[in-house]
Amino acid sequence: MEIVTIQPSLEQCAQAGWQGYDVVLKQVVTRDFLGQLAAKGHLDYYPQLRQPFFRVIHSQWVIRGVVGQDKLRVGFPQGDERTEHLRKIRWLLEDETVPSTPGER
Amino acid sequence: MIYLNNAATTYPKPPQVCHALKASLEQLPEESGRSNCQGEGSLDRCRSKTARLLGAKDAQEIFFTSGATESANLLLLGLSLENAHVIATTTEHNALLRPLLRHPHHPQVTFVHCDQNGFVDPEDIIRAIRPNTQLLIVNHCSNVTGCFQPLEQIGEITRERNILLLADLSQSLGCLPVNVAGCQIDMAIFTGHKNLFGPPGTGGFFLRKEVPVRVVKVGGTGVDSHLLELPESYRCFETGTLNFCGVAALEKGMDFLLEQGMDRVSIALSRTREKLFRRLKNLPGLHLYGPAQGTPSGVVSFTVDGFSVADLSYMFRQCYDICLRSGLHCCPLIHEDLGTAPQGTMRMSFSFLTPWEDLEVFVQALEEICLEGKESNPWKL
Repeated sequence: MEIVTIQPSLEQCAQAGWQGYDVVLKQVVTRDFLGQLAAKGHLDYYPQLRQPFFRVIHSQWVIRGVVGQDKLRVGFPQGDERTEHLRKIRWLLEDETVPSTPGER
Repeated sequence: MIYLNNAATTYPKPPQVCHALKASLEQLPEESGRSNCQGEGSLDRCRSKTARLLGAKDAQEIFFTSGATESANLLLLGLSLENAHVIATTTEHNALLRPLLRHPHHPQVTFVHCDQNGFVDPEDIIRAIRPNTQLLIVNHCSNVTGCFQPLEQIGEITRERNILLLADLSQSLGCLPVNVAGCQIDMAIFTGHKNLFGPPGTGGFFLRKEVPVRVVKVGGTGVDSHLLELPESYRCFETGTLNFCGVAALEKGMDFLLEQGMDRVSIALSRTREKLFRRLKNLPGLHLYGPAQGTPSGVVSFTVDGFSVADLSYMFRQCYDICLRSGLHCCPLIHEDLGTAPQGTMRMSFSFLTPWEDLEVFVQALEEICLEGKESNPWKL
């Protein structure tokens, strides 16, 4: 999935101790792409809300989004440098390979 | 979008507030002693109306600033707190906590805890008092729970013991009648852009004449220009050109409230809050923080089992187009007492101008989220 922009989240204090990034994608999130993300972490999917919300949880990151929207929010525990966060975001979203071991929750 | 973040700043504003801001920019300025022309008088009128809303006996005890944060800094940093003990509550906002904890005299500070609704027991305040206690800081209405503290009772405690009382009225002024004289409050900070419906960049403080506070922000005052060094007794706290356009608009916000009547505003806010709590109380997995009744505040914090506040914030915005706030709300200490540390809470906040229809949309969204959290649906390929 191609990334258009990555910006520090407009909600910097949404969750204390976490650093968030708002990512704009070239295309909207589809169920297929959701499948790719789900393979990297633990997926919770809530299709019955007004818009179908999902989160993919890992011990080192969280991805939140809505199927059908072209944006995501990626969160990391504070600690790493921004460059490391950006590298991880690109790995999470642009790399279509599935990790060899299941992601930790 | 449905806007329910009025504890941050109110929206919408009464139309006359917006018109006044525009008009003020289009007419001759209020130059406050800095020219040979007289302005149209909004500064003096607003000062009088502020005194009326605060229950202050003398409008000259009201000073305008950019808001509550600047007011807190000017008052706290202007107080001598050498060898002093200060009491504050865990409901205080960082606007007061940070200048207090950074004070150059490093006073000893005791924090009095609140209960799970955000209420501080005055008996706990009494227990915290020491022989060298000089100041008590109290947040009149919590920006996290909407809970009010009993200022009249607290004012009796402090006055009996010759302790200065500083009240933070940021969330309360404009919600109910306030009486700084009757509550024996020595200093009070307020902001203009919340329940007073003024624009951001307005606010001020009340300072009883007899309270010795040094001027810490110095510069041009428009008068006494020959004085390069100001005497210690100089009490000109409005330094530099005031945001007179903002004050002109703030005056219209106050007019709006005074026309409505503060008792009517207070009753309306209380009834809306009670109605909201009745609609929400049985939702599965929902935890509400703050009193349900008898509280004229639009501030309501909540959490939902199964979701972090970051999840909730994202869902409300992206799935329902509802503007709320999540996290600690610049009020770090209260969450230990509420049991919501470290992540904080979701906060919705309505104003006197928020239509019930908007709250109904919020309630329906929250119902859907709570039901969804109760029954997680594993996604199947």
